[in-house]
Amino acid sequence: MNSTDASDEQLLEAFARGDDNALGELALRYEPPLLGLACGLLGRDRSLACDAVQEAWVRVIRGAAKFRGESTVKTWLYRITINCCKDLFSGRTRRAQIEANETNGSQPSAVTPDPDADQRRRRIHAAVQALPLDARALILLCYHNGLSHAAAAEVLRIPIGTLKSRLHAALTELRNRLESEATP
Amino acid sequence: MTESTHDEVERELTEMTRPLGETPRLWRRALEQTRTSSATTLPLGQWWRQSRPWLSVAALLIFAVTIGILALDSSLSRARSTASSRLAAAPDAARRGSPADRAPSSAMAPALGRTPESRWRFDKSPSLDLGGVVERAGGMEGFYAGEVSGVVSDIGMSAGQEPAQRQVIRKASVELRTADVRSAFVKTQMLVSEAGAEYIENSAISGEGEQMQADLTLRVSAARLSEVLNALREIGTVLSQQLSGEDVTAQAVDLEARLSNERRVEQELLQLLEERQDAELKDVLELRNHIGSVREQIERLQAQQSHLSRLVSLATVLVIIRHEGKPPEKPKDEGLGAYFARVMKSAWENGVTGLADSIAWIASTLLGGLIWWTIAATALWMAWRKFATLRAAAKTEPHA
Repeated sequence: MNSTDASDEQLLEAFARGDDNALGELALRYEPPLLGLACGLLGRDRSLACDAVQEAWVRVIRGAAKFRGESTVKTWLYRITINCCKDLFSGRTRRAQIEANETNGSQPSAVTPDPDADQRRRRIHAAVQALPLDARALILLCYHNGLSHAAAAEVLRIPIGTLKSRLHAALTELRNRLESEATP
Repeated sequence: MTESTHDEVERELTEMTRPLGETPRLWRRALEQTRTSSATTLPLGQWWRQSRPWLSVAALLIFAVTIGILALDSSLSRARSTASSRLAAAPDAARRGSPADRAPSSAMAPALGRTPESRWRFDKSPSLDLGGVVERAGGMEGFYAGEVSGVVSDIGMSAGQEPAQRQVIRKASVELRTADVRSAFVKTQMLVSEAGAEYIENSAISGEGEQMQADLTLRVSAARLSEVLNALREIGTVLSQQLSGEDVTAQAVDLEARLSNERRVEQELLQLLEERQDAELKDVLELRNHIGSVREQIERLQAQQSHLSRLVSLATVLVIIRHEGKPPEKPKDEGLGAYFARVMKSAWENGVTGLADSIAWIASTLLGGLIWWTIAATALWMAWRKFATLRAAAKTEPHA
C-alpha cells in the first residue's frame, strides 16, 4: 500500500499492526495543524503546545488498537489534542505561565512593521485568551483552517446547531471585550 | 465594531491556529516515550503472563492455609462433641448412681460454661422446650429424645440450687405398624409390670384382617418409661412417636404448703377445744364445725396430693398398633385400544351425567319456581293490557 494514498483509517490500522511509518504519514498530515491549534489554545506557548501534541500522540499510539471508527481519525485526533490542551491548561502553574507570557507580550506569529496593527493583534490575542477555555476552543476550532463547522461539531461532540449558537455567543463576548478595551 | 475590525478579528483568529510549517516530529518522540514507558510499565496481559507463576504460588498458599484452618476447626468441633458426649453420659450415671456420683457431672458443667440443663437444651432437647417431639417414619432418635427428656427432668433441680425432686407428669404416644396386630397387642400388654404397680388403663382391639387395630393405654413407672418405649420399638415399626412432660413441681409444693397449714390450724383448734371444755355449748359446737371443715379441707388436699403423686410416678403411654397394609398395586399396563375405550367410556359417562344434570336443573327451576313464574306472567300480562289500553285511547284522541 502506498502510504500517501492511504486513508487516515488505513494508516491508523497499519500502525496498529506495527507499521510505524504509517503513524509518520499520519503525523505528516496532521501534526502541523494540531500544533497550530494547540498554540492558539495555549496562548502561543509553543513549548507547551508541543507538550500537548506529543501527549496527544502518546494517547493515539496507546489507543490506536482500540479505535472503533465511530468518528473519523481526523476528528479523533483533534478531540484528543483539545483534551490534552485542556489537561495542560488546568495546571495552575502552567496557567500562570501562560498569563505571564501574555502580559510580557509573547511574540505574535507574524512580525509586522505597523506598530498599530501589532497593538491590535495583541489586543485580539489577549481578548481571546481571556475567554473561557471551552469558548476559546470552540472559536479557534471553527476558524481553524481545514476544519468545517460540521467537523468541529463532531470534534466537540455537540450538534451543529448548538455549535453555531455557541460560536455566536462566544464571538459576541469577544467583540464586547475588544470594544470595552477600546473605549477608555 | 467596524466591518474592517470584524474582518481583522476573523483573520487573526484564523492566524492564531495557523498550521505550523515545520514540526519537531513530535510523533516520533511520543513513540519513543511510549516504548520506553512500556519497558517499565508492562501491559496488563504481559504482566499477567509474567506474574502468573507467583500468583499461582500465592493462590496455593492461601488455599493451603484455608484448608488448614478448616481442618483445625473440624478437629475442634470433634473435640467439643466428644466433650459433650462425655457430659451427656455423666448426668445419666448420676441419675442412676448415688448422690456422690453426681458431683463430677455438676462439676464438669461449669468447665464448659454451661449447666447440664442448658447444655441439653442447646444440643438435643427441643422435646423439653416444646413440650413434646414427633418423630415420623420409625426414627430411633425419638426414643433417645425420650430418655434425654427424662434425664433432664430428673437432673433439672439437682443442677440448680434446690435438692428437691422435680415432679413431672410424663405422657407418650406411639403408633406402631406390624404384620400381626394381635400378637403385638399381647406383647404390649406383657410390658406392664404389675408387681411394680403398673397397669393397663385401657385396651381395645377392633377390625379384621388388614383393618385390624389395637389401642392400649399403659400406666408404667416413670423411671421405666424409656425402657418400655425401647421395648415397643422392637414390637413393630414406629410410625410416629410423641413425648410430653408437664412440670407440676410448683403444684406439689403448693399442695404440701397448704396441707401443712391446714394441719397446723387443725391442731390449734383441737388445742383450743381441749382448753375450753367449760365454754358454752354454742361455742363448742361452732368450734367443732370449724374443726370439721378444716379436716375436710385436709382430706381433700391429701387426695389431690395422692392423685398428683400417682400421676408423677406412673407415666402414661398410649399405644396404637395398626396392620401393615399391602403396598398399593401398580396400574396394569394397557394397550392403546384399551386406553381409548376407557377414555371414551369415561367421556360418555360424563356426557350422560352432564345431560341428566342439565335436565334436572331445568325441571327443578321450572317446577320449583312455578308459583313465581305464574305471578310474573300475570303481572306482565296485566301490564301489557294496560299499555294496550292507553295506546288505543291515545289513538282515538284528537290532536291539539
